[in-house]
Amino acid sequence: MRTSAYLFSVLLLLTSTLLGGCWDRREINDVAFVMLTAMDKGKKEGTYTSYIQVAVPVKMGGGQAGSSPGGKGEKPYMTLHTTGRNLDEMRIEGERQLSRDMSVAHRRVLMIGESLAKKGIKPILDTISRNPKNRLRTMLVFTKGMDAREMISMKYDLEPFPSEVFREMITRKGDTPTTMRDFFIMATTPGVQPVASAFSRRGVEHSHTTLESIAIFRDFKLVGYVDEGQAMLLNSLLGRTTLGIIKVHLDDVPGHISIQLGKLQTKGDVKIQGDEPQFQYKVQATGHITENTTNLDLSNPKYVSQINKEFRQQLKDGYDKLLKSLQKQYKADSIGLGTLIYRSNPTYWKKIEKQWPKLFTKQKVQWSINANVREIGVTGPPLALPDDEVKK
Amino acid sequence: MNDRKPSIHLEDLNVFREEVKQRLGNTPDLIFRHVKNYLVVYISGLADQERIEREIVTPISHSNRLSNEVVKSPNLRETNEIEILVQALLAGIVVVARKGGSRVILANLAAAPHRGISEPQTEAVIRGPREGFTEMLELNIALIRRRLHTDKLRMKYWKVGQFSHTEVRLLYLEGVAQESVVEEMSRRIEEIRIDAVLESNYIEELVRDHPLNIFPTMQFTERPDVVVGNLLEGKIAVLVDNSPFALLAPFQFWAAFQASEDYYINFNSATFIRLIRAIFIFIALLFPSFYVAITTFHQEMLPTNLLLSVAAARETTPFPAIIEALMMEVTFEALREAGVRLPRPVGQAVSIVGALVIGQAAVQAGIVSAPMVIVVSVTGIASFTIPRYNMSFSFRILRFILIILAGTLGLFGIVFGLMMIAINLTGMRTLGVPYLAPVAPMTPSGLKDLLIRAPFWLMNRRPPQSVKENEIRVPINQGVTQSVFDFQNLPLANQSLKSDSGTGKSSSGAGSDLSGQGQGGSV
Repeated sequence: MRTSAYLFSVLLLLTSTLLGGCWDRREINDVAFVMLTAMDKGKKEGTYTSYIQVAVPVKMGGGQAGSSPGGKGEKPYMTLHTTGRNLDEMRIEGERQLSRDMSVAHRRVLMIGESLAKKGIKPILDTISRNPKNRLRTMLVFTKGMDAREMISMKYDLEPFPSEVFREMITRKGDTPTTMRDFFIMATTPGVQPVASAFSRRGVEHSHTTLESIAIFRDFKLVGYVDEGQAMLLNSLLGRTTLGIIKVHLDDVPGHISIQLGKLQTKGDVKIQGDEPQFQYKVQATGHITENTTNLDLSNPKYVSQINKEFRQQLKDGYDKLLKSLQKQYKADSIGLGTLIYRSNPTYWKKIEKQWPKLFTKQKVQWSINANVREIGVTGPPLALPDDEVKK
Repeated sequence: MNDRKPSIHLEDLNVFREEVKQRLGNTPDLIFRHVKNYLVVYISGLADQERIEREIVTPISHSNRLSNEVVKSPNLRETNEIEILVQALLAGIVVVARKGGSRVILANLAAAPHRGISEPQTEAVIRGPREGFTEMLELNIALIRRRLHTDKLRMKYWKVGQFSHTEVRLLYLEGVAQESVVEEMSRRIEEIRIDAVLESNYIEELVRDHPLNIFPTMQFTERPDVVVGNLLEGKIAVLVDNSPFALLAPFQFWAAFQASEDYYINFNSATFIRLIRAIFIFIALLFPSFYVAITTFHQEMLPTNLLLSVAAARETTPFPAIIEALMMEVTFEALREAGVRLPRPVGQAVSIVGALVIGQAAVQAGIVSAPMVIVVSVTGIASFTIPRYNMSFSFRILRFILIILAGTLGLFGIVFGLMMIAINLTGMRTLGVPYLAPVAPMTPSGLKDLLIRAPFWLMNRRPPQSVKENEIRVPINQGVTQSVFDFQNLPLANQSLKSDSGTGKSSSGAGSDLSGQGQGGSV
């Protein structure tokens, strides 16, 4: 009696191991790892087309030396091309083309082409966020001036995968918050419109991939881009540390001085005065001089204070220009002025929430900028200049 | 009084001789020597020939009728029972029988062949005493006595084994060890019924708690200093004749992290080493199973670049990860076993074959993936960091179970296995002490000597789990310990042993009486 009860309980315990449902054992060489997915508008209305890059580990060159059939120069990935009316259809079509199970857990970049982004990306976002295998840290990036298909067919020798190129560029060089998670956070925060990194091509026959633009969204539709120096300022307003160069011209002096930004921090503040929000941004900037094509001897503090003044003016103009383009051109509150109100005065925000998209375009922002040059480099005047040409 | 027992008849020594011979089955190593009207009997090899010559044979041959003292040996007993006589012979004792006597003299001149004291092989230390136990019980006890000059060291002893009559001794410190533990252990040793005890494991297996459990409940050690250290923590030691391994009980799980050297190096270094050990113990137990689980179930858990390297390495391997892991682990265990068993000069060959065939050829042939070789070797190294050999066995066996669980159920299986181990461990008791103490149940003061090794001045209490009274190790404000006994400062012995009058003097003046001898004060 006792032994049978004992055996029975052991049996019960053993069956409990089956409850886990973990019988989906997949060897690592039975899985195809998606590195990048690029999506464009399909040929027919309402369809999508996507390009899925899957890693081919054998061609990685690592692992067993000598046993890999592929030599150098072969790409360590292959690209699947699928079309469908939604993401799920495309996923199934992709699985049909693959001899292995598709795993999207290691997808690092989800790239969406310009034409599709302009149409709206709302339907795509749901499918992606619903599947737990998709990582929220996947980079959500866009292309500027071309379709994603064109962007991913690139020649880039430094990295084995195009996804690696995009990801490393974003993490090393770009400062724009651009993961899926950032996008969803911005999309759900009241009073701000999401932004994301946008890649573009430059040079002869569009051969150089660069990251210099930020895609501006309004209601999940791409409305435009903010480029280069403006992108840097936008990053600073989004609370990101940012790097860049500001060129300063002094009146009546030929040549220019380049300032490499060391720090560019902003802090926004809003006061409601007579039912009207008053915005004020405090900007802290420091930098060091990296280039001096003028004949000024920068070891003279007089010039440095002149440069500082001009530095501030440049920043102020830049911010004004950025705000103007957001207000007039894109009508998208990408810098989160609405969020400032929402956080400091929620009851007021409730009143104006509905009209905010319109109100935003009329807001004024006061910039109080404190910008200083910290280092002038190891030499005052340009060393190449003879002494008599230097203006002390 | 002893009428029922067969007694010795010494009317005719030849009859006696035949009787003894008969009892021992006419064995050729039984030596009889007739000296005058005495018969000296012993087993050659067990008794000290030289001393027999000097202390028994010579005195007898030189003796005259006037002298009663015919045997000049320091340790003499007598008996008239044939059974005791036979046992005494087998223990190496010399029997001297006088014609017409009623009893025989037993002279303890036992000098069985034994090995000298050498460095312990299993518990080597960089810094610390280099003496290890030998197979000779008396010598081992002396080694312990030398480290513990206290009258509180108590011993109980038994002869265990129907045929072997092996001496088993139980050592403990009175007032430190718990009486109940001592009694329980004594009871268990008394109940042993066995043919022979050839090694202390015979005793361990018969007296341990949870005899079927994979985890050891007794510790074995080759080092007298370890025995003394444990006695001072209130544990008890069991020493077995013919075995250089002493047993210590109660043994708890956390002792697996502790090596004797922890106490011989600075406390911060010891703590560092203990933390390293703790990490590697987990690696020894879990690394292969984690590798199997993650590469076959949870590929998303690996960083992408690492995943791609692993995927590239595994691309050409023919076996599933679990088979590969089991294969490699079994091979590793086999190599290890071969290394232990083989004669030392051949051992080299094994490691070469192991390194070349498994490390190189198997990977290059694409049969085994390189990451798996790394995993197995790291695990192998990790398992060598466990200071307790019997504990490392438990981990090695559990490792295989965990690999199978990981290969079938993934991380879920590993967690399942770990929970089973945890349930098992928390349920265990050794001699009434919880196996996981002082962590479960928690006693904060016990944690000072667990993952960290606190400095000695902080460890002023004995571990609470094994000591109930006399917890204080270093009484506060005790001052400098003053030994009562200091041989050099005792008064000189008066050789003539006259009734003296100066006892009071010599004890008071520190060396004033002795100054002429130049001995006082220099200690």
